[in-house]
Amino acid sequence: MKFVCSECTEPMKLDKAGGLEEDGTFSVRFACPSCDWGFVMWTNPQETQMVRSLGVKIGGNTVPSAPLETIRTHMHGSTSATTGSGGKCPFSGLMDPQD
Amino acid sequence: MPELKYKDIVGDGGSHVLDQVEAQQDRLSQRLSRVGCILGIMSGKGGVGKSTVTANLARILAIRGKSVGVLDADLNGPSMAKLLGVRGHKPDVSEKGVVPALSKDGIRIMSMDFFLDADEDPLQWQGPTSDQHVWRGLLEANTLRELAADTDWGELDVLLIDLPPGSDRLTMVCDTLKRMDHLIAVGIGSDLSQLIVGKSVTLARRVLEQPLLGIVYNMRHYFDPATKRLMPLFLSEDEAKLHQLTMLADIPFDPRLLSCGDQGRSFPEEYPHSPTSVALNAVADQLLNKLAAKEIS
Ligand SMILES: [Zn+2]
Repeated sequence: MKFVCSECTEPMKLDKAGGLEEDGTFSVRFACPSCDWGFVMWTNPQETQMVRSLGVKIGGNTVPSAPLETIRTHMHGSTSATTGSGGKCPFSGLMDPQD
Repeated sequence: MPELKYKDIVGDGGSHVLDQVEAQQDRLSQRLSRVGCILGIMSGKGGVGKSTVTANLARILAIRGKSVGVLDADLNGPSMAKLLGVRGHKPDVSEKGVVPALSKDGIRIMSMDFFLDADEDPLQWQGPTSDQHVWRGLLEANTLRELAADTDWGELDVLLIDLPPGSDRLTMVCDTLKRMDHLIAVGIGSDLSQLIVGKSVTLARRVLEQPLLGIVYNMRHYFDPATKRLMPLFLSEDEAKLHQLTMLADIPFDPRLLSCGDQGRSFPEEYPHSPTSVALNAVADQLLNKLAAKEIS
């Protein structure tokens, strides 16, 4: 999915990823680099889950993913089986850990 | 609306999703570059003994001195850990990756079974509880990619992939792994088996363009260890001829195969001269001949 500023025909840049709610809704702010016009995209829990199921990070990935990251972070009861850090939040692993 | 087309728009705003997916693929192909041959065992239909064939073929290849790995691609019904006697293995992470289980005969195994805490635990994912079909397939494909890419297989002559039943799963596994050197179909020869296995064979050939080594008949006969006689069990029309496939072997059912599998013991080692072991060896022969021919050419 790509967004373009209709005034400047410039690709919108990801400005801020965040606003992850407990119910799985998630927000990302995009801004036009030329005119600074911006908007916020909200995803519903299913859409959020679709993105995290791809194993990609919103906002980019600055550190390589840990081995078996999907299993560690997304599977029920997986934290005891591997040495990783399966978060308690069901939507952990959606954003770059550097953010 | 601007005259821009999708392809004209550079980047995706900063998430670099394509780069991330490419990095995932690089990791996978790098790992699999140390594997001589990736062999998928498919059936299309459950209950034909595919996993038993996979496990025992792996054991025979190991007995023949090959370095063998087994990837259990049946995430929701993993059986390789039990059949190869490595249940309870807890994968550690080393510098090289996730350490696979090692069977007594030296087979390296990776399976979802190692991540499920209790016998009765199904594979469950965190996330919205409704409409899981929307994302579950994606998550499972990603999990399979990780199991293949993050496991420290080392150098392998053969990596056997135990495919889940269902022709749709065949597509998922081939799409995810991006590499499948050979496929073997397992069928029991019954009309129903022919009908369902036929769909997977067609899919493999026409859609995925995957090379099929041939078909293995399983349980068309029953070997009675007491009388040492072969009795018909699921005998019917020639499935190999029907699907224009090479018949690799006709593996008779032997009740001792079942008890060995249940206890994670090696049937080919304990009963090397049984007709079942002989037939399994015939499959290994044809695979190894194929690999040797490839090496020569
Ligand atoms: Zn603008």
